[in-house]
Amino acid sequence: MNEKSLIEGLVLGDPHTYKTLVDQFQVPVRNICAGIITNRHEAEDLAQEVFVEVFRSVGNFRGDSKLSTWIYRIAVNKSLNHKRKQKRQMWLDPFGIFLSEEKSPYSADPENLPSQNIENQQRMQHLHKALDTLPENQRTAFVLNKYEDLSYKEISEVMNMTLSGVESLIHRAKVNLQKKLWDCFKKDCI
Amino acid sequence: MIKTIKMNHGRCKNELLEYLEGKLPENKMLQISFHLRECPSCRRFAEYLTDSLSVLEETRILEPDPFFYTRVSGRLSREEVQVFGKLRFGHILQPVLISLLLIAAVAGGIGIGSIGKVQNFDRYAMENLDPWLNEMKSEPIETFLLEF
Repeated sequence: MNEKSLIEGLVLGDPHTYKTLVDQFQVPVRNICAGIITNRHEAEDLAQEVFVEVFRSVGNFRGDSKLSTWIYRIAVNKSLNHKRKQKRQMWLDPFGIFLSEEKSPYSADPENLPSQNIENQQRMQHLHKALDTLPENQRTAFVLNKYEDLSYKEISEVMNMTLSGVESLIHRAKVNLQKKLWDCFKKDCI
Repeated sequence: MIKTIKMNHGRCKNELLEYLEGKLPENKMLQISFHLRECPSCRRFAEYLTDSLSVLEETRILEPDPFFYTRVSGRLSREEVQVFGKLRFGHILQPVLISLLLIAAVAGGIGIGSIGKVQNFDRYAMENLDPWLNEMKSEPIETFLLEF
């Protein structure tokens, strides 16, 4: 199904088109959400919200960009808003007494896991911690590039930036990430 | 030749990620690979980065979830019901309730105001209340000034 007929079907509220759209875009949307908010369970929930938002606001889609760009933009915005909300909650309740504490899906009970898995999980945790310390736009650009293999041009369209801006963002993201991982490596985290 | 091969730890570790991705110019790729051959610390860090990136690759979602659409459509219908509920309350019940409360408040105010209302209140006040408020009878001004 091409993009035009997809949009027409969505505007008409055709359930078959809904399903086609979800099947076509669920993997990238879930990857973007998981990359930005790092918690797999919350990311799944958020990815569902992204599609609900897409179905609701498809009438507002002007066709200035590709449908995929528009959907990725919604996914990025929703994930960033979720992240900001989490930060606000952390600020209001730093010890997680009143509000539910974010729990990483990679913090499973180590006794039930093979040693290789534990090591990978620890690596993943360190990587996510390092990613979390990156500024929002660097993390978003890095996630879109690394998790979704989007080209710099596509990232510039999703993030509403120039191509050179995206290049610089991704470069800085990588340098900062390396610095954080270097600190961890020096401390023998693994 | 020596100049092109020479590279310090700082520069090497800043460019390792792009080296591992093969995204550096040929000259820099060469410099870093020479440095890695000579420097065990940077080599270990390169291995650490490679492992971390491979873990990142492993956690990427590659296959579509067959139940994802069911969950999305369930959520969509649930939220439609909620939105309808909100709309009903938000657009009809809320203004009606606020109007009723306003009417009740105005009527209550009028009622409270009319409780002590007496016919010919001015005359009633002059005859019954003013004497109590007029202290000139109990203490004439002359007495007051003499004491002062």
